[in-house]
Amino acid sequence: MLKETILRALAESDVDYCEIRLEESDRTMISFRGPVLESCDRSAELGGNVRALYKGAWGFTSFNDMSDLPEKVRLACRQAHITGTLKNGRSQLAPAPIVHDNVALEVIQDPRDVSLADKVALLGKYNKLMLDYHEAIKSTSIYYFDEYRQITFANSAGTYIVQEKSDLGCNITAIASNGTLTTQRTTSAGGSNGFQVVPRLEDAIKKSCRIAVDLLAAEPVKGGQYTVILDPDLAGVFIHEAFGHLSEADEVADNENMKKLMTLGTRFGPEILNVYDSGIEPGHRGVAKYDDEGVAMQRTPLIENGILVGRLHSRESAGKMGEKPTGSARALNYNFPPICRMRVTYIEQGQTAFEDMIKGIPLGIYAVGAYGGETNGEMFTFTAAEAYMIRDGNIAELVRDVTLTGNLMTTLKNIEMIGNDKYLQDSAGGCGKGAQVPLPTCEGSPHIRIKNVTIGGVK
Amino acid sequence: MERLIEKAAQRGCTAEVFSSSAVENTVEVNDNQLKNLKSTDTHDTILRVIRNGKIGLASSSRPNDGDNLLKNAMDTSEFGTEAAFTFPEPAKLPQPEIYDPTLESLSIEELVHIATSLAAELQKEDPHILAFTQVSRVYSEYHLANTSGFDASFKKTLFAVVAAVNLTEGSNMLSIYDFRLGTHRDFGLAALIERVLTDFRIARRNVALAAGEYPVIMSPEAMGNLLRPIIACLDGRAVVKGISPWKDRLGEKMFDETFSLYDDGTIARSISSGYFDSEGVPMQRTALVENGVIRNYLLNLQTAAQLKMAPTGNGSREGGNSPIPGTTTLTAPAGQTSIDDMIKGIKQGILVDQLMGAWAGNPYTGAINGNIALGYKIENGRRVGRVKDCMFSINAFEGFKSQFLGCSKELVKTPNAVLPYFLFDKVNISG
Repeated sequence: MLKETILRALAESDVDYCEIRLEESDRTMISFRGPVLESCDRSAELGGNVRALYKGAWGFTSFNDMSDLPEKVRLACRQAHITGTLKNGRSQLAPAPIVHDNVALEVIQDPRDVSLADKVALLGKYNKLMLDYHEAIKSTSIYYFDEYRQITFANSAGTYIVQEKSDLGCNITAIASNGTLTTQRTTSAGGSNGFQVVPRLEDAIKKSCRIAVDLLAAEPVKGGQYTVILDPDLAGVFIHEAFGHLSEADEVADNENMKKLMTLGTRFGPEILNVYDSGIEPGHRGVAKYDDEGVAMQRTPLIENGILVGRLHSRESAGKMGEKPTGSARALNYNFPPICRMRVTYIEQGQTAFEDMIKGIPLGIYAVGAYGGETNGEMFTFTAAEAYMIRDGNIAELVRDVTLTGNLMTTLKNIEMIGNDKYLQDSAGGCGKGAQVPLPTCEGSPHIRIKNVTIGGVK
Repeated sequence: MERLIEKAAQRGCTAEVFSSSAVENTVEVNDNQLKNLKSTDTHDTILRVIRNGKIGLASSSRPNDGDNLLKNAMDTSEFGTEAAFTFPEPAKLPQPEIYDPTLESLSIEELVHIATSLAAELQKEDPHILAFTQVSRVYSEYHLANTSGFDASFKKTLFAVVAAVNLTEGSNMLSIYDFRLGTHRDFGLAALIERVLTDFRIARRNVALAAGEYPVIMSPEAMGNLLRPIIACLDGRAVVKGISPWKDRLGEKMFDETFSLYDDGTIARSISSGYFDSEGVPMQRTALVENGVIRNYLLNLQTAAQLKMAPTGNGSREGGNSPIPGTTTLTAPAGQTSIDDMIKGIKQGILVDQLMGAWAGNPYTGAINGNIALGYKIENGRRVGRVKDCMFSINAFEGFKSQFLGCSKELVKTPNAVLPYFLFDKVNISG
């Protein structure tokens, strides 16, 4: 019934290309703050959009009212005609296979099968564990969500895909305070294949509690340039910010100077550096069978042996650059058109053991866990959740307020060693680009060692 | 909406229904090309109930989804937090000027024309630059009704114009943007272009800067980063939990007496203004810091009741469905000096226009560390070029106590603030 309506509406489109994406989702959110359950919400969404391409420019319309789909198609087409007839756009789509598929949910433990009571009870147990851990733990913050989404995608070339997705994230934060200083440390979990990642976090949570308490006695780091070792979690955020965004091809396709800078074959890092962005890592956030243009996701090599070998494409960026789509066109939800985005971004495993990495650093910083990061294409910053001074090749005292910054073009080349202990970290956070935030993504890496990293800090 | 409230009341609840709808048209010019013409038509209904003293909440964007909403709200109320408050009764509401009926007469073709002609103007500067422009018009409507008899609505418009230029030369990337943003149509577009191109001409030249301590002027946009720790500590939730260092410290002088900060949901033509917040509390002007003294917290119904204080009209549903304390428009009084004179008075210093990554980190320590994404070196009273690859560090609490030197007489509208430029002394720059 719906399928017929969609196909009939698309058949009436009078543009070069037209697509319809309809989404239905159900979301549960639970949050704790201190001893009390702060909120417990359920939200249901039904919405859709039509995107139309005419003579190189787009018309896009999104809506909640599904009652008149043919009219929505006409509206998007009308908008595309207004933009297209000005002959100012150069958008074109790379070819993509016509797909007919029905992708059922693949989960180990469907979050919808876990009762609200059981979810609240488990999170409540974690909350109590933190509050009882130490008298300095003055408060807590837990944010949990799970979401089921069904997406129907059809385009005027004949693709018709119905895809079910699951997404889940959980951040559990211990907050310590001594009256004048407040510190915190978060334990994270998340995934795309079920609730089973949420139980059994007790050990990790206790460790976070200890760090939050210890940070109360830590001094702020002294600003300056250091050799740093990043743990897998923070190194994942580093590669996401310091390189991942630069590989999103929609920022390159129309910029001749960027194209030169990002010529495939250019050296970006040392021989030991290999970077991938993958939509096929089972269970991680950001993974799906198809992207939001109906293109199959894949594992895309970005840097191999230090050389730039690939980038993340939508059909549009691939069409403009004469390359192939990579299944990287993703939209936050039905209110947005898809753009080039990361999925699971990681540095591939290297050879060096942690002991060999730290050996020989007279004065440096070991930065662990991520508090967030940002890039503007040229420079990046990211903040560590905990950090230690390295003195004479050994981990020394804990320091706080460690924010690292660098220039994309030089910092990757300053990577000196890559560890043999790759790990992918999911969390309840997400990636932002323009207004489309938070999009589920995952990052990871082995431990890495970088020289000459600028760390901020007051004297 | 009335039926949903009635039904909830029949089930033994007190209840509130908050609905919002928005119709938006946006034109985007990217990389010199007219890229996209977007329209969105969205609506959302949120039902909050209090049953047996506990809060339940559900939202839906499906039309006529009342039964489902009620079921989900009842379900979640089983586990909900204890409500410390009752839903507010009807009150006299402020009516700031936030609706521009003339925006309706603006055709889609005119929006396209504004975006493309702005881009064309920017491109005249240099054949190598890429121009980005965006023009948006939004109509939104908010309606709130509850079992205490509150039933009110208001309409709001938004008109936003963004203009930006990008230039990549070798591995040097420069991006300059500025915007006009308000509830009313703004005709100051020539000034917008002038500002973007003036900044572009100066920032095109990179200049070296030695690490050290400098006087720094913070742009109104970059100031958002410095105010973040203060807002976090004034957030009613942090006060209730006891993690705010300013719990029980209202009335104490914490900062230099020239520093004042207000939250004002009643400023005419500001996009964050309204008649009432998302819980039916009238919008108001709240002194947060006045002459260096902490005056008020940011409170929604729940945190106000927990602290036995009056709500401040800061119940916000940004980023979720449950109302939490959130700012409306942050504002600070203008100073005496013009921004030009402020620059002229600096022998060696920096004007920070954009910080990057400064939002990350623990707000309760006051530590701000951000990469200077766009900053200008000031030499002998003139901006001489762009500084980059360096980090700005300040402790916001210390900064407003001992490093704050004053504000510009110009006030600038940003998406959630109306602020002057701020001048600080001895700010640490590493790089």
